[in-house]
Amino acid sequence: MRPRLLLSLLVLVLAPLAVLGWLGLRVADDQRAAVNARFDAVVQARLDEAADRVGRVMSGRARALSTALDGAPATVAALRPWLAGQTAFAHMLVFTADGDVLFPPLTGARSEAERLFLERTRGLWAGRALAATRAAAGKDGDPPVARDGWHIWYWGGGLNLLFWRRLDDGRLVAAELDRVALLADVVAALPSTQGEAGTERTRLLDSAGRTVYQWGEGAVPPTAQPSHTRALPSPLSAWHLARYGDPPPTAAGGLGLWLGLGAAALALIGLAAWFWRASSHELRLARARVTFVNQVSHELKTPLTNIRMYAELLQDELPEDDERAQRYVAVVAAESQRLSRLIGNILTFARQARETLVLRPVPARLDDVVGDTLAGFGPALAAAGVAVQRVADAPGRVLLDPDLVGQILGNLLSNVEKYAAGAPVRIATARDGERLRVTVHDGGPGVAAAHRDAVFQPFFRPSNALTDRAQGTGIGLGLARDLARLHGGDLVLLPSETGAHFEITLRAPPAPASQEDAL
Amino acid sequence: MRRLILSLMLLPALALADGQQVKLDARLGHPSLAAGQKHTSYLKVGLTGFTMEKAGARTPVNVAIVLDKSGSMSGEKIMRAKEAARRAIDHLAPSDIVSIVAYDSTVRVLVPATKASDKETVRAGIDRITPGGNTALFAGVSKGADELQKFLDKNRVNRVVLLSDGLANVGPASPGELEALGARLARLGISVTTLGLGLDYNEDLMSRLARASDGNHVFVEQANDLARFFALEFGDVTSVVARDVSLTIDCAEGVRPVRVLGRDADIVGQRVTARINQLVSEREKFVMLEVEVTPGELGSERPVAQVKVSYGNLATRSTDTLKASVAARFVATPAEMTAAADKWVMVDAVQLIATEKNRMALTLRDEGRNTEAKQVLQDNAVFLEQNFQRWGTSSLKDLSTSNKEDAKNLEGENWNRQRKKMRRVQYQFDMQQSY
Repeated sequence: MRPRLLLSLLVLVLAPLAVLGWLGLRVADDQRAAVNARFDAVVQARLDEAADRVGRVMSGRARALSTALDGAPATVAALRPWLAGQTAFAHMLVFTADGDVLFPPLTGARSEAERLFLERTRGLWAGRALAATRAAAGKDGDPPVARDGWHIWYWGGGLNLLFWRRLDDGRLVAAELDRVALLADVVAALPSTQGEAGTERTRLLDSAGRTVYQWGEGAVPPTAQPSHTRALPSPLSAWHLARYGDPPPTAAGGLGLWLGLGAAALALIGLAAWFWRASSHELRLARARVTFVNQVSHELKTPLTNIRMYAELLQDELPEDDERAQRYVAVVAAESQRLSRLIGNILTFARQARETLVLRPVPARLDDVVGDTLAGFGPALAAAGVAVQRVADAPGRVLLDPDLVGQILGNLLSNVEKYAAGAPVRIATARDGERLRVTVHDGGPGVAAAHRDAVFQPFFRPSNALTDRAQGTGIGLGLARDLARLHGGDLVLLPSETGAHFEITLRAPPAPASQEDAL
Repeated sequence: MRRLILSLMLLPALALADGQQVKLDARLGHPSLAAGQKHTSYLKVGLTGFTMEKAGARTPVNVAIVLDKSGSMSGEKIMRAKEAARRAIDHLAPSDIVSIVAYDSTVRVLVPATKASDKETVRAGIDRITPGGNTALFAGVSKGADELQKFLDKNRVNRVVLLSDGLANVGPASPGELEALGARLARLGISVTTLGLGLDYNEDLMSRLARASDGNHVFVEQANDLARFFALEFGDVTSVVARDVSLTIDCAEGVRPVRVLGRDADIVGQRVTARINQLVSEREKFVMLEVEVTPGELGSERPVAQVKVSYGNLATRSTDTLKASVAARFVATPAEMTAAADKWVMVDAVQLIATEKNRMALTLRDEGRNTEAKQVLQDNAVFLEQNFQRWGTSSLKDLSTSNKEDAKNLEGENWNRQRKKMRRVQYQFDMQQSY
């Protein structure tokens, strides 16, 4: 009873908690995902903004270069001073419309810097490579060809940029954007570190994956992987921005959730505790009631025994002919016997509940025990008009508990008296080795097949017109069966066409011979 | 200084006299050449900044102070650097523009370009510097230059003053790359002065960055010298009178331009072009061209070169042009030729040649050829000593002593310090640094 209650209370608490917890985690997950998504969007927007700034620098440079290159003088002599006055670039290539190098001159006088420039751009002018890819004009019907743009080439361990432009006179000019100069511009365009503390850092990585610039307060372990990346816009698409750092923790939302769950758990535990207390109270109450009845019955037992004893003494001593007195005393004796059975039952029931019922076998004859019990019931049965037919066929002394057997049989006879009045009862005993058998077959209304098991349940009484009038505690048959089982046997209701047919089986070893001799 | 600033405030941009011109002085080391022989001589084109006529008048400046605040700067270094920067701000007039940039692994623009009238804000920015982290030198200079570009004005002195005590290790970090950055900034009219602090900075990187942009370069061994050098630098910045000086030397027939000593220059055929970013008041900067002259007839006079200089005059805010021509006379004997030699041209040429030898010795030492390096330096000291005997100029004697000292310190723990000193002295002579 108690463990089952405990279990159900646990389920009552844990099941809703589990459901709530699961739901809470789902909500927290969703929330985290939402926060992360929002955070991703913000970070990505910041990277986009940084990349756009670089893009604006590059398009500004392209516009300035395009305008500047349009003013490129035609002659080599004029080109040099013009070039010296340019702030955006230091070197340029000039090709004829046919793709031949005009400047710096491949032959003749040129400065050391021009010579080095020609050397590192050899791949562009040798074989007219640049001129070929930036063709002057498409054939008729072709889409218009771009007049200028960036040209990327890799030299000296990194990306290099040329801005080329096809001039109106057909010349192709290309200004070299020094990588370091470009980098200085890009660095200038990107944000610098702000604030005093932070956990993120953004890096600009070049085409070889080297950090060329970084901002933000966060420290980046050497093995860290970026949380977000963004390539720079063309022509610097080989470079990218990499952002390092964790998303901000969503502690606030998580705390609220766990607080809510904790409150629900407390409420449930409180509810369970209340149920537990209430049921404990009922149990205590029931136990107290049983204890009270038990104590009262004990108190009643001694005076009742005295009443019975003196009533029986009086029966013996009264003159035979004083019929009236004899009849009165017989009633007192019978009623006191009935009362003592009732009390015996209650005490046994209480002992059984406390699991203190023990078997006390003594050497005895079953037929004697049955005879004694029947003798006690004689007047009551006679008053109820029940004739007893006896078959005694259990000879020999065995070890059995006479009180216990008397109680079982008494309960059956009590039922006969109550429910089967006016019809004969047949009581037979048999013995087969250790197995003893007593059958009680009355001539009453019997027990419906549907109730055959239920009659043994405590406090059960088959409801019909006949039994409704009868009084009883409702514990007799169940108790009788339990006692029979305690005695190594059973009490069953046999199928019968007329009346109730009970069979008691008992297990009783034969009594030792010495004890038999002694009697 | 404070009086100067006050007077500048009271006397805004008055028209300045027309006489304010850079002095051009083009001379051959040997104006007389022995006839019938091929000669190597030196053509010096000197340019001297004028004095601002109005007392206290000066060119407004646009300066970015870029401070290394990497972990190695902790302690006295950063304290001294902040103090020096704070004091340097006092040199600025209210119309000047200043920005403060500090870098470690990343860059912080502590004070974006702002009028120097708000000195409290600038000082507060300097006070916010706390050291820690790596050295993103390239990004620091780039950001400093970016602040300058917000108010980039041809009629201001646009300068980045960089203080670093370490090696660049975030972003571009090679001397070549920083040199390219310097060249890029020079094109925009920005010069970079580099102050190398202590014994751990990369002197090649720092000197090449300064050289490419025609700024100054100093080796500051002790942090307590920082204030002095900042003061010198700000003195230099505030006395610039000319900018974007471009020199063209057209050599006459029979004169071959061989090379330019010290400075970078382009030689294309007979034409030599060089640039000087800015000229300081009353200081001479020059281009020293080595020429080879074909034999001439006795008694004849031959043109050697035509010199053309154009520059931005910061007093008149106009672009001025100067011209000069140099000729040589042919005399009978080498003795006559030597006797007629131009002392100051020759002294400057000797100093530059000795500087070049010094640089060569440093390269040899870098290659592990210590004995050869030592020999070069000792020979250099003797060469300078001989010229001191000839010309009697104490600077030659000093340079001779300096080379002897260099020769002694090629080995052991002194070498690092000595190498920094050598780079600094080379820079001083090559670029005619004002301090």
